[in-house]
Amino acid sequence: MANTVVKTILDVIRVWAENLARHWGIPPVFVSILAWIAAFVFVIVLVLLMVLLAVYLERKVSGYIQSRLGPMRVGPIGLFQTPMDALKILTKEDIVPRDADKIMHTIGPVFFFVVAVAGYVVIPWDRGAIAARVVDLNIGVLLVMALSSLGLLGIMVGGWGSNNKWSLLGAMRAVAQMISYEVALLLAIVCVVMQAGSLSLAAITADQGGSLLQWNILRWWMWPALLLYVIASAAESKRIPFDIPEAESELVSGYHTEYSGMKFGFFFLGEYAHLFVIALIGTILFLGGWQSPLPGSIADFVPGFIWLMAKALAIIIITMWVRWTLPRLRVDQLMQFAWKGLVPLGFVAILVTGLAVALGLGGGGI
Amino acid sequence: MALEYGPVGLFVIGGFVFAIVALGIAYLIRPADTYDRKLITYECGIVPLTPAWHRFRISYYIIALLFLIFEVEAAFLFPWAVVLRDLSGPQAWGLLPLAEMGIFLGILLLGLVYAWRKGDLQWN
Amino acid sequence: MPYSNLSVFAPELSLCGLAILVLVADLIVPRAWRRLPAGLAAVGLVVPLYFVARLWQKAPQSEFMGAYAIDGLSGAFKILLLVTGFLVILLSFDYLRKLQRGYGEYFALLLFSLTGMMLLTGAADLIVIYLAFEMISLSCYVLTGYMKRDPRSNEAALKYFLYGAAASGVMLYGISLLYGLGGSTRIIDIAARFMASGPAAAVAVQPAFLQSALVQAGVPELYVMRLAGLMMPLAVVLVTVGLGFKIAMVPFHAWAPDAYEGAPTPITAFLSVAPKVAGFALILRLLLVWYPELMGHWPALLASLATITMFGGNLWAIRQTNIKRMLAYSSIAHAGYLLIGVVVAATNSMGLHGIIVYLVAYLFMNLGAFAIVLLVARNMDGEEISDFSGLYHTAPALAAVMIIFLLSLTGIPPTAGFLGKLFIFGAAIGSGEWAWLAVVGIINSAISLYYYMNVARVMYFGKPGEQVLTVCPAGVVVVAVVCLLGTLGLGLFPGLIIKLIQQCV
Repeated sequence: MANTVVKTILDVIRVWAENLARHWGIPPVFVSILAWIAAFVFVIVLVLLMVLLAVYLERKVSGYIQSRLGPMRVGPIGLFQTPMDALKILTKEDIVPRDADKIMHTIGPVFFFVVAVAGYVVIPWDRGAIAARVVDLNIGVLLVMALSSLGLLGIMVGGWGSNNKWSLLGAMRAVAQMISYEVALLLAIVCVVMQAGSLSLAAITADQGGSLLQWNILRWWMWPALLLYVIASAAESKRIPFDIPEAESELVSGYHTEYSGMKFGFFFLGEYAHLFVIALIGTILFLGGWQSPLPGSIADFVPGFIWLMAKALAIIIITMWVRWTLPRLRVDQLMQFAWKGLVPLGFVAILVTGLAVALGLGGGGI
Repeated sequence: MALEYGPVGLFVIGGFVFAIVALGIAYLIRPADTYDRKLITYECGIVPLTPAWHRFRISYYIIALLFLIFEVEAAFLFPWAVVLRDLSGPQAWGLLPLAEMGIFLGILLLGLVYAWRKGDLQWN
Repeated sequence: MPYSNLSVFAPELSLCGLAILVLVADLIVPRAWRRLPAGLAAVGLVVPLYFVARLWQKAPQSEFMGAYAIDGLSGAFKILLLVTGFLVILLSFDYLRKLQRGYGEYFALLLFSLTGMMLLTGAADLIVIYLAFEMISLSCYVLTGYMKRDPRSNEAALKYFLYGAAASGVMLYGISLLYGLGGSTRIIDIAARFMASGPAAAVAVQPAFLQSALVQAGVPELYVMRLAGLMMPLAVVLVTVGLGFKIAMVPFHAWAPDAYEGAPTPITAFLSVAPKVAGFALILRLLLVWYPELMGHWPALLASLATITMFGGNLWAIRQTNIKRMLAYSSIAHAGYLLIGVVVAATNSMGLHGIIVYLVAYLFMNLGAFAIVLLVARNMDGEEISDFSGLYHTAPALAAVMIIFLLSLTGIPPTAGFLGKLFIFGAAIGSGEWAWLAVVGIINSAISLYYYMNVARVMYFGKPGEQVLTVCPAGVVVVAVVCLLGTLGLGLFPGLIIKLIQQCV
């Protein structure tokens, strides 16, 4: 089974490292720490690659939707365009306005990026031995949500620290929007937790084991939660139609108006890292995580990690499609939709899922 | 137990290290060609009239309060959600656990309806 | 089995449900019918009252693993609270007539606050105590500032809130210290831990978290025990600060005059009675459970606080020209008299009876006085003592009733106030050790005679104003009559109430 290949390789490496440690008399805790460092390096490389890919995709998708070709010049079919842009950002001058709060101005984007990356720690990449998730935290979902809402702090600090009206207004709007939609997001997640009976992302994945039909997306009583999650997560990643915080026609470019160079780069990186983690969580919550659609068939020969990535990328492409298709909402529509539409829907979702779970649908019971 | 959260701490530290290294590299290779006009806060091309640190409208504050209420509610929901399946069903308490949370959510929903009717969800 | 516990909470649950019902009713009824939810609030109080009465007949029990207690004492306090709530609602109808927004919320908040107070009377767990405390305070802050357009009301609410937040914080420190030293949040368990002789000895028997943590950190055990011995009084003092704030004890009273003056008058009446009832219920519970293991010196501390509270309240009251402010200081002084009862209650059950009798009397005479203040303020458009000038000539009956309330507040027979003071001072004298407190109390009663009778003097010998009494809102009149009957009835026929109290305690 190819699904276990990754696990086997990691196990071999781990056993080898432990033996080596024992041989040299190094306490096993250092092996753990090394494993964590390896996991972190894996995640950061993955995130950077995914950001490059996602930006490229974004340009291509928008190009096709607008009957253009998108980037074509740099490299074959424009593939090197985004790495070049990354280099460009790195070499740009860093302008800090004279009136800005210089410390806050720096901390904002860095913090934003750090918490976005930290969320990856609990993602189960594959069956069993999971590269990044060295231990299975039993509060997985909560931790991801907590960290992703901490990102707001980075936005607020950056927007406030810029001492620019557009920045501050953008940051305020971002915070108001994201805390509103976070309520809806949490209500959707509560439904999945009810179904799985655990907060651990691995357990939530395992709950959807078996076949395609066991995925939460195909369990009818999860549909209200699914709808809720799709809308709220789009709003959480601040993409059109929910991109009020950086609406360029109103706010120049929102909370990162006064940023340039690598600090802007961190907002940018954090943004895409956040988008990606939301897609991953969506995959795990509703699309069965790393599991192949038809276990026991030929699909098993694709590693789980690839399945996870493929599903997450599919979600990302769909959000891009939505982004380049729909118009932007107005700020009042946006806020009222969250409180008057999604939160009541969240209560309905909890009721529906709760009834289904309490009546023993979807397996389980004692 | 504390070790379980080790990776979280390491990811946060690692993130900061990455950020510092990246900013350091950028510092070394980027130009530093500033002059006064460049450092003025951007305000549609005019010289900014006032600092940006203004008072904000009350709606944001109300939204924050509402958020606090529902976020705390969610904090109560999660432990319940985890054990709901085990507590429900004919061998255990049947629909009682759901009904109990229903009462709690019902009161909260009343709160939402209250805020709605009082116009606190209006954004204009 | 899981359901039986909940019946203990029937009064609080029904009261909370009533509050929610009032809130919802206010949302759906049209503006013209806005008195409907308010009336519902008043009538609905019968339900919790019924449940309290039913629980009262049961044997004392504590539920939720000892976190909540039902006994005769808490039952008596709960009935007092419900009666206060009812009378205050009656007082409020007319006062709120000009209110543009939030008519129903006022009553809902009042009921929520009352729920918190009822919880406090039965609370036997530090966390429940704190929660009840906050439930009372938060509703009261809002109620104090309810007249949004009135700057005095805003000022009052802000001061009340700032003091209250600080007091809650201090009390929370005390609670966390108690938890750290006692190893439990239930007050019974904390007492059990210190059952041996004195804190230090008990700590040696079974160290709690704090101690064991210190020992593990390498601090010698002797020092740890000494530290615990030092920290216990500190914890008790910190909790006392929180309680002292709630009942407006003197060093922590500074919020009271401003809050009382600025708050809507019915709320002033409410604040001067209800939090005191709840606060004293809690003080008594802590005292009865924790004395003398934890609180050997607490009565001495309270005795000194009682002395300065009485003197402070009475001496400041003399200088006031605003009647609400004067009554605020007078209520501080009354807290001082009640504290005498608490001091004595530790060793003498007479003190306990005295507190309840005094609280019943205080409820009637103070609410009655506020009812008259409301009536006069409604017609004279002012709340100064000078507005009472010549009341005897314009409204002789009103002046006479006011005189009775003032006499009762002073403690002159044949009124309820006399009976209360008789009980409390009698208990103090009977205890021997605290007889001097009775002397202090009597001196203070003499001082209070001056400023109470000053109002009487203004009413009878002052020049009557232009205005005559034209408006007599029914609710306020009803309250005045009920309070008059209570004040006189209790004074003339003390046997009934005494029998009832001996039954319940």
